[in-house]
Amino acid sequence: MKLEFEEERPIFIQIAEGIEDAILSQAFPEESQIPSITEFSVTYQINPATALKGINLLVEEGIVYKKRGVGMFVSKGAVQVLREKRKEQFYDRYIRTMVDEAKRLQLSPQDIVNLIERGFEG
Amino acid sequence: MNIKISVKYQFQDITRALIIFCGILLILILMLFIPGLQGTTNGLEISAFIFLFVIGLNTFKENFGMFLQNGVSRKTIFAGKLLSTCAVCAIMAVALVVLSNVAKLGIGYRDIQLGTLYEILYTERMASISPVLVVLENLLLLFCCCFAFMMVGYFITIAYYRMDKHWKLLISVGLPVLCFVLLPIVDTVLGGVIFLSILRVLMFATGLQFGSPYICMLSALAVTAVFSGLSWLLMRRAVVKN
Amino acid sequence: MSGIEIKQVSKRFGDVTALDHVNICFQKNKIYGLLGRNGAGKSTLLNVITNRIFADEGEVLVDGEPSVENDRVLRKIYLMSEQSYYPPGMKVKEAFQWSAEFYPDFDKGYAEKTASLFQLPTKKKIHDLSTGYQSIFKICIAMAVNTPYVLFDEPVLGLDANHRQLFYKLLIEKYSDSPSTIVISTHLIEEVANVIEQIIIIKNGRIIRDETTEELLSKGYTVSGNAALVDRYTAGRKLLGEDTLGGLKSAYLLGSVKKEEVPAGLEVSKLDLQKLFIQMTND
Repeated sequence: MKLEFEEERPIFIQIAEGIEDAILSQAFPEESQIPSITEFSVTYQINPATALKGINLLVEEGIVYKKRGVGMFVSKGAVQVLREKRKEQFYDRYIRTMVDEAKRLQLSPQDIVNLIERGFEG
Repeated sequence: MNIKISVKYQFQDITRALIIFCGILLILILMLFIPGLQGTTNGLEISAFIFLFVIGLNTFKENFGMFLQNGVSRKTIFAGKLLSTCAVCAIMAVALVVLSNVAKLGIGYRDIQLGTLYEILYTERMASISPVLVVLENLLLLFCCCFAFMMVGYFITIAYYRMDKHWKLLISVGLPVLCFVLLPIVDTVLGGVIFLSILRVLMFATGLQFGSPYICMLSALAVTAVFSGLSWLLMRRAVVKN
Repeated sequence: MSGIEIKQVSKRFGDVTALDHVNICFQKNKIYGLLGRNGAGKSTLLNVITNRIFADEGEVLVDGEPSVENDRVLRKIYLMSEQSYYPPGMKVKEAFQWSAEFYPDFDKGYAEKTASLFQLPTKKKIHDLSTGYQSIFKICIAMAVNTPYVLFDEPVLGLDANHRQLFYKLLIEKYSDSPSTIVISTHLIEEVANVIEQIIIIKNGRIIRDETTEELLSKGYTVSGNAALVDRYTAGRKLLGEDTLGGLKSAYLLGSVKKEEVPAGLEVSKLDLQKLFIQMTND
């Protein structure tokens, strides 16, 4: 899991997203143990409270669960849940920004469709 | 709890210098065993007093910083200083008695004069009391004097620590001028009254006037008390310096 | 009440007011950043807390007890200061030994381990160490001392990039294993931004900010783009400062942003801590 913190969003959200990415890419498979709060905070040099806050987001969403005295694990079905969630975010994250940029460049919707098709071919 | 470490730290801080000092004295005394040497020696105690005075001068600043760094309060530092000084002075008193007796062995019947402070000051009393009592009184006397010299040194160093640049300069120049220039001039004008009275005070304070070492002990303790008190007053509000 | 409470503390040096009625509370087991420019009063505050100097007014309570001349309180705090108060002739390992005497919970093994990670020569005299290694020496003790309160005054002074990284790593490791109240006083904000939970900004002896890092970061934003557009937007808003580059302008604003109010063509981004800090502490 690689993280380069950006200034835009709070660190704890970026931590949560980093873990989500790792789950989606199977780096943290379902039912496997994920690193501890300490490991996260030491690796990324962040306050443990921040790491905890990020992971708690995932716990609340049922993507990660805690086993007392053992550690934290990726829930069964987490990948599916994440895919659904990410699809919803897809519009806000990528389409909106893309359309904004397209307007600046004076690209028509058809131009964009063409570009997208080119992207899938390549 | 903290007082123990305060005593320990301040005691160990002095031990090395103390051992070296006693070692040098011993070497000098052993030289008395070399045949053919002549002369007089009675500087044993005086040199010990000067040594402790200098030690007093050198045991404030570094220790103070170290203690504040390590969470020890000023009152605990000061209590530790008094207790560790007790130990050092007791050791010094015993060492001086032992060393002067070794020295006497070395002299034998040769033409060398050696007298301890006690023997010189209270010669008459010595003849009238038991030798054991002499040793005891001598030990007590040395202990009290050592303590006084140490605390005077300690006071001076704290006083300098608390003074700002201007005061330091004023005292460093003013005090010698006062003692060695002004006072003698005034004294000459007044016909020697001042030095005569200083001498009288000394005669009284050392107990020489009455031939009693106990008065000298009391005077030394009074000096110790006064300078310890003044040191504490200055140290109470002392702060770290860069 | 546990924690360190600083109540109405003032301190003057001659004509200079170093601390002006400072009120802060350092709560148990949190990491604080004490930020301020050089001479803002950071060191003075830390020296008052540890009773190395006396406050003119006000008091410092540690777990409810005043710190002045209080051995029980003073032993709970370790201040790693810029200035070294260890005897110059003392060797590093001797200082470790004495620390164990002064602080019963001092972990000598851990101090030695840290020293070897930093390649600190423990047989050398403190006096003979370089500036960077003097800092490292003090870091090694502060990390191993295990007091409930550890205060760092400019801890990374003279440390190279690798050693800084190592310091922050060890600090977080240590804090995760056994939490304590940590205060890091520094003017290098960016380095500590992710490590600290709460930020205290001090300016000319006064506390101007005391809030969580997140709160503070959400208090400001940057709007950039066409200078005329930016000016129109910033009119009537709380402007912290601005940078201009030709016809482009970046404006730093206080408050939270409502995206719908920002005209198209302007970009909104978060204000980073360094910028926020510089804008807030500028005279």
